[in-house]
Amino acid sequence: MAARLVEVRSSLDPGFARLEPRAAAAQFEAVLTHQEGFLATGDATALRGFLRSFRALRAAEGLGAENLLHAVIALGDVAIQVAQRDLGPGPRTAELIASLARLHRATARLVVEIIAEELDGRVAQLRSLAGRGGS
Amino acid sequence: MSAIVLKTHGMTHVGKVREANEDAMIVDPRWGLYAVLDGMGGAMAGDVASNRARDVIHEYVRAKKKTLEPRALLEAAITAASSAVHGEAQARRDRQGMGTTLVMALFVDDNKAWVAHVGDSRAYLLRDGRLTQLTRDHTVVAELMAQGALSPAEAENHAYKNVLSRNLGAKAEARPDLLELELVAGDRLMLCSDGLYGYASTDATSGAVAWWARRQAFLGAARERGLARSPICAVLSPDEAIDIVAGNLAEAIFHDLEKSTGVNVWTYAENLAHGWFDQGGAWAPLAEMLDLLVGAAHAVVVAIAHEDQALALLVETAVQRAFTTAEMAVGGVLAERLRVTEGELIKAHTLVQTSVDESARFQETPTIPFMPAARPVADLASPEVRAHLQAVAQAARGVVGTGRVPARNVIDAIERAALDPVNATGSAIQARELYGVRALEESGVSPLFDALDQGRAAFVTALRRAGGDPQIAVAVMRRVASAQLALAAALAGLVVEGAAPISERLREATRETASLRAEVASNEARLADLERQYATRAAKPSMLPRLPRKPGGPS
Repeated sequence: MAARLVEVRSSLDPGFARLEPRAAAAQFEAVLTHQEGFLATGDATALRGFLRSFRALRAAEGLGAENLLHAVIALGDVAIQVAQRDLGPGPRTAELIASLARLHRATARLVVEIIAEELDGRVAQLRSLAGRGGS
Repeated sequence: MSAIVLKTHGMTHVGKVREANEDAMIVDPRWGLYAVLDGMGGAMAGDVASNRARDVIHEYVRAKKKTLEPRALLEAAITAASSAVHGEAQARRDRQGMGTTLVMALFVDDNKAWVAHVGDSRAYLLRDGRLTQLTRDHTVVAELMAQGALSPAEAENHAYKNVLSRNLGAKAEARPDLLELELVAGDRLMLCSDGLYGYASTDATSGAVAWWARRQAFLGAARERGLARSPICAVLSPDEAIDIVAGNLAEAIFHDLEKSTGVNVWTYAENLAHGWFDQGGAWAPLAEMLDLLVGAAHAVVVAIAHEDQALALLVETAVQRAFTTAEMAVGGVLAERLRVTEGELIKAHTLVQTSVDESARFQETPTIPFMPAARPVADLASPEVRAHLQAVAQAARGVVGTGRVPARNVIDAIERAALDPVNATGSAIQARELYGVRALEESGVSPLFDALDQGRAAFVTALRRAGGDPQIAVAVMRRVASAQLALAAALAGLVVEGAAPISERLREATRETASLRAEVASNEARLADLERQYATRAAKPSMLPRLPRKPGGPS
């Protein structure tokens, strides 16, 4: 999956497009490893923490919040496409794809949660500034 | 060019699955107006949206075609339609979430037409045997492709290729794309909805049929799980909550499965989020409600699994992807609000800075408080951050190698500025050193900005390779980004400074040219007057010299 993600990284988002293959592979492997951990344990703590750092790094590159969401969703789509292509039709494939779809949704939810928290933080900052006579 | 005779024809069909036709169209040769609208998003509301928009556009064009220019007319008509659909969706609970796509053509004279569209309904032109798609779908993937972030082959296989980025009715205002078209004899213009060009796989159709057959079970499960108690449904009766909130979603999922798209669920979730957040609602209740609906859908999947395990997996995958689309739509709305709030923060912060200390306005301080006050960007770096920054800078030099001297100079400059961001003159000095002596033209300036970009990219690569504590990495990245931005701004200032004398000379030359043009025009007018006077005199026979006649010529 990581290899396929490196191949199509330019389609995931502009941040990935700028990366060299080795650096891109390291990032995709990190995402997939955390997702794998979540799939195996059902505990989203590590994945959530990782996504937060990922968001912070990408924000420092000037990429918006929706950018991370689109990237994570596109990444999940590629994972499903790879599973469909490499495993062929069959009950085991269908089960795996259903699992990946569940994982995909859960990851999207975590990113939305991070965006919602960030928005809450900004709104609080805005209120604080307004309290100091800013608006 | 001779006038073109226009022949028109319109046709719509409900299809083999649905009970109601959600498409609408206008075929009005008298006003030269043709349109196709594809409604969506809600039980019995898709056709309401498309019909309402159709009527508003038709009426508007008939009323204003003679007084408005085509572009203004189309933009105003489409905005009026979007506003009408949006207003109706907001006013009636059973119509919340409805919207429609639109593609229309307005013929303004015999050889010219304007094409406007919103969403994924399309216009095609058949000319000389070649079919050309005139419109670009307003989908997330198509817009990414237009930005060059996605190749056509990648877009074709993208699971969310039909998720709309624009529709008519989701918001009061609409953003149509317009195209002016010169027509030649033999041209064929086709307007159509995705019902004509789209298709669905056998698997998707099986999933759609299975889902639709069990929609009542989904509504029942949503009722059992307490959907009506959600704060989002506070103004609805329990039955309305089920019919409207769960019913519309069930229908949206069905339509998306049927056509292998995400457009209906996207529209449903986006409108739901807009409506809820506009009322001041928080994200958490919306997330809880989506979880509840996921649970209800899962109950349906379990019921299917008792009869057909393979079909259950198919439906579950489709449902999970539908809810992923919903998350994407909600996240998009939140991200948009985040952007707006950050803009307001900039304004508010500027006001605070202005009111607090007028003399400190031009100091190098962060203008956007994106991070809490406890972690300002322009403070002195901690020893750990300094050490990591220096190590990363060293690694970045290794990334660019010894050959790219300008990029290495940029890395040095960024490192110095990042280590000492408080020094207000630091960036300007670094920029002057980098600028050196160079010609003020593209070949002189571009390499400098290329080097700036290479330096930043090398920093990013080195930082990623370095690993380590994420918090320190983030702190380093922020310092590098701030320093690079300050350098870029200072370099841009130098370019502007260098261009100023040239601009002044250009302005002077423009003034002189204008004066010369006026003189030439005056002389031309004088010449024309003299020629006219000569021609007037020449026309009087008595003043013409008598020419000798040719022998044998006419008498």
